[in-house]
Amino acid sequence: MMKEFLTRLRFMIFRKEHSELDDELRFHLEQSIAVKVAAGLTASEARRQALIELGGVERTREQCDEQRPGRWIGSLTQDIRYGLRGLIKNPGFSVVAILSLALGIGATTSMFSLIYAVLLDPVPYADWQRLTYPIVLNDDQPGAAWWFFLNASQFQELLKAKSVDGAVGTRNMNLEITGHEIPEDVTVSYVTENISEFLRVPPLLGRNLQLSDARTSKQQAPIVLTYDFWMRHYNGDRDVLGRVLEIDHTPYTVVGVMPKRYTWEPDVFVPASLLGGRERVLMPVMKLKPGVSLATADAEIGAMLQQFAKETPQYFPKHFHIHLEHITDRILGIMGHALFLLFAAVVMLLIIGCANCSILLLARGMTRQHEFAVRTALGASRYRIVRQLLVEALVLAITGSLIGIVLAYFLAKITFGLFPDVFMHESVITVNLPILAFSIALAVVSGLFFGMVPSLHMSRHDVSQVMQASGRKIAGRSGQAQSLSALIAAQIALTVVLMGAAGAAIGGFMKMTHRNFGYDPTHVISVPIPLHRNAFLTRESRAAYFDALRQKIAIVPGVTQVSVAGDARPPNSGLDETFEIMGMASAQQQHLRGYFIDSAYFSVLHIPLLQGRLWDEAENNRGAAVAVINQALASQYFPKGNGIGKQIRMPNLKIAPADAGYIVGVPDTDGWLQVIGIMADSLDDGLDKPVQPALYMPYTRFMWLGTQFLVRTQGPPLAAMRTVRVAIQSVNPDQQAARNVWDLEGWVEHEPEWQQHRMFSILFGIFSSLALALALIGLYSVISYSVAQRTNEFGIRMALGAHRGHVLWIVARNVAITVGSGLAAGLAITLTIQKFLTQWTENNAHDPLILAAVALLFLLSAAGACVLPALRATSIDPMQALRYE
Amino acid sequence: MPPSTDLLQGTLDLLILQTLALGPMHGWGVAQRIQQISKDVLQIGQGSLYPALYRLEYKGWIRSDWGNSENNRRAKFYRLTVAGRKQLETELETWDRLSAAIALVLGRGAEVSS
Repeated sequence: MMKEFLTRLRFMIFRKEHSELDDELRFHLEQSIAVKVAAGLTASEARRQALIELGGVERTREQCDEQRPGRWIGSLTQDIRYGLRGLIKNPGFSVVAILSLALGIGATTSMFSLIYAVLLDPVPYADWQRLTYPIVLNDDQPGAAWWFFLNASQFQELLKAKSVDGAVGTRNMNLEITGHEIPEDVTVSYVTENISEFLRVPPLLGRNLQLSDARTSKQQAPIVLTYDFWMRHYNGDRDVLGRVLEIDHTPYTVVGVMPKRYTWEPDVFVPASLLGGRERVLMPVMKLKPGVSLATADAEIGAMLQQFAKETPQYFPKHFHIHLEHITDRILGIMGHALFLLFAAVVMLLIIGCANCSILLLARGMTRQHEFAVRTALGASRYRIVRQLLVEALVLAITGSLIGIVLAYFLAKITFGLFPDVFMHESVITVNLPILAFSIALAVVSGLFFGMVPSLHMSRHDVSQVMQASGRKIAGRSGQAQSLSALIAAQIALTVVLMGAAGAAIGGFMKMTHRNFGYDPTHVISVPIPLHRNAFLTRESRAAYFDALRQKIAIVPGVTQVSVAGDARPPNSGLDETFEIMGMASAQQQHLRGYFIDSAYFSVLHIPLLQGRLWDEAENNRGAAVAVINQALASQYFPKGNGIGKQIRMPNLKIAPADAGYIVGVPDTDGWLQVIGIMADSLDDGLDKPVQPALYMPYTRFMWLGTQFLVRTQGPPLAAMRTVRVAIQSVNPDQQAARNVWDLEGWVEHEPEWQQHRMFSILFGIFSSLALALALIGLYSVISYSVAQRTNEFGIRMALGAHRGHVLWIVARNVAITVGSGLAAGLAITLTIQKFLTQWTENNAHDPLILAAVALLFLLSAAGACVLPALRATSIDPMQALRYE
Repeated sequence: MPPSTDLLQGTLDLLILQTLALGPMHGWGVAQRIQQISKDVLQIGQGSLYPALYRLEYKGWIRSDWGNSENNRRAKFYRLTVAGRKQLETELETWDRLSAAIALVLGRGAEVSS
């Protein structure tokens, strides 16, 4: 008896692997016994008393161990290993939880990389935050862009401005690459030779332009290629340096290739010093001095430009003011709100994903209560258990974020690729340190977030109660049930908000694309034709050249109709001009869109003539002072919409002396025009705005250095492009067509509002579907869990005579309350935020019908998710249920 | 067994350091010495003693080596390191200041100073 007790006792003391502490304690005990024996006790009594004095050693062992610095690392790895083992043991739970998180973190990270690409690292240029360019706004024609130029001395003057740190001048020209079978259009940028020091972007190959290039002779002029041009024209050949490129029959020597991100409009760069005399005028891009505000610079540069306008009036409007813009302002204007909304959406998705994990952890935690109770009984502190649970949550979160990062990269790439025109050319999507850091931080925060609720719940135990329940799950722990319901309701609310937003975006996009365009964009290509400088300087010769091209294109097989369409490419084009009507004085400025076209334009685009007639060929050729108007102009400005026979003029439409050689036309471009016909409305101000008043005139009245042909074809329009190019060649072997040729449907798709809406619709569609899937998974697991929890109860109820329908009702009632309150909250939030969302997304369809459809869709899917577990509840066999577990 | 008089937080460390300042000693010896000197007022149980010894060792104030005890048993001997000696000095100073201050507050300053 005594021996057994001692053995047991020894076992209790020394049961662990032999450690130094054990030796020490043994020594301690022996010493104690020795002292007691010396004091006169018998050996066994001395031993007994000594052991009693010694007391429990397990706690000493623990405490000694706790003193060890860095001990927490060991126990942390233990926790992580334990967590991982738990995850592998429950693959279903782990996969769902990790995927929920991966989707949330992936979507959030991808939006963050977009934001990074757009806001934080949009361009590779040095000090890009200080790069600005002035925009000249014509006070007489506020809507129209004005390209202004500075001559060499003005440019030097600008460099002396107090707020300016430096500047480059550029001038883009459309030239052609000669020496090949078909001339190729190329955008050449003449840039000042300081560009290399100004932007400080290291070249990919060779060198950028340098100051000494200003002194090179015309025959050995250097040329620097953009990455895209290098790829397109030289297939990325690394031996390109030193090769000769012939542009407009002048040879240039390739001296460098710039990296991929160094890209804006031009294809190639050549020194500005090649521009001779009168042509040597440039547009500035300035770097402001550090700390100089836009307003200060605006005032100084503005005054300067007003002064310059007096010296060179040909480059400036009569009345103007300037507006300085950062190089990233345009993109921010388009994308700022969109990015914010998308980011808000993915954060919601992330919260839903986190809520899902909380729900899963809570549900799983119910089955682990025993484990925690045992651990508590063995002396684990509450802190220790909470830490264990948080570590498990973090393991989930980190695993999820690793998958999420991969997902994010592709999601961001796809978004970028789908909407090329929405972003700056220089922006790229990369996975870099800030983005990785963001993602990991996100994982940690979300891990703490979704791990907190379950671990606080689960660590709170009445140990004895759990132990006495002897393995049976404790039914009706109301706190946890409430947490679950609240979580699922919040999830549902957020999902409904996202679905509402998606519905509004998709509805708005459908409305836009199903709008009556007023013209038929199918089977029509637009073929822009740039002319060379100083070519066809008389009205007659230029008109005849355009007509000769038109006739050649018209006989290409497969082409049914061709129109010389000037600038009139729907859905957004035309000159913004002020106008007056004879005999009708107007206090306000009246604006219209002016178009210079031939009368075939309307038949190519299937725009019907409503009243009057079109001009004939003879009127076209002599540039007769006739015009047709659209219905919008007719009904806005003429009584009963009848404008036939009335006279209209555009007083500001003049060919300035500076335009000589570029624009040719009739002497009286600002003269009175007689209205001879009224056309049906067609879109002329983008896809989302009302049709503007339009005035169509014979194209020979006003011709730019180039035109565009609208070509209607029988088959797929872009397939005809090669034969059209050949036809153009047959008129003039040196005539190139612009490289980017799209059909009119393509031009619709390149409208910023189209792209933005499509982006919104697709991304919100994806996000809300993911949210829906996550919420349904959450709902499903909660219901399954609660049914499983109450199996016993249901068994008793049914044994006492409850119908299956009644049991079903019990399950359904709880679900209905949760889903109903979530749905109601979601709809309420949607209606509340709609008011302020409409300011940003005016084209979204905030339609109660769509919202009702969303609610219905959600209810149906929720019902679908409930069916299985509910049926399981009703199919319980009472006898089995009572013995359940 | 808990010490019969509650030891101030950190005081045990000071007592151990002071005891070890006399020479290397094993755990049992430290406890016995403290008990003897305090005339049985301070009884240090193993539950407090060994964690404290481990803590001091991890802090680098004491070092331990296995050796033979007076009755020729294997025992772990602790001794003060240079850092431990400095620590002891500063802790003694702190203790003196603190106890003098407490004595003043309790109105027994005169007895202490005499």
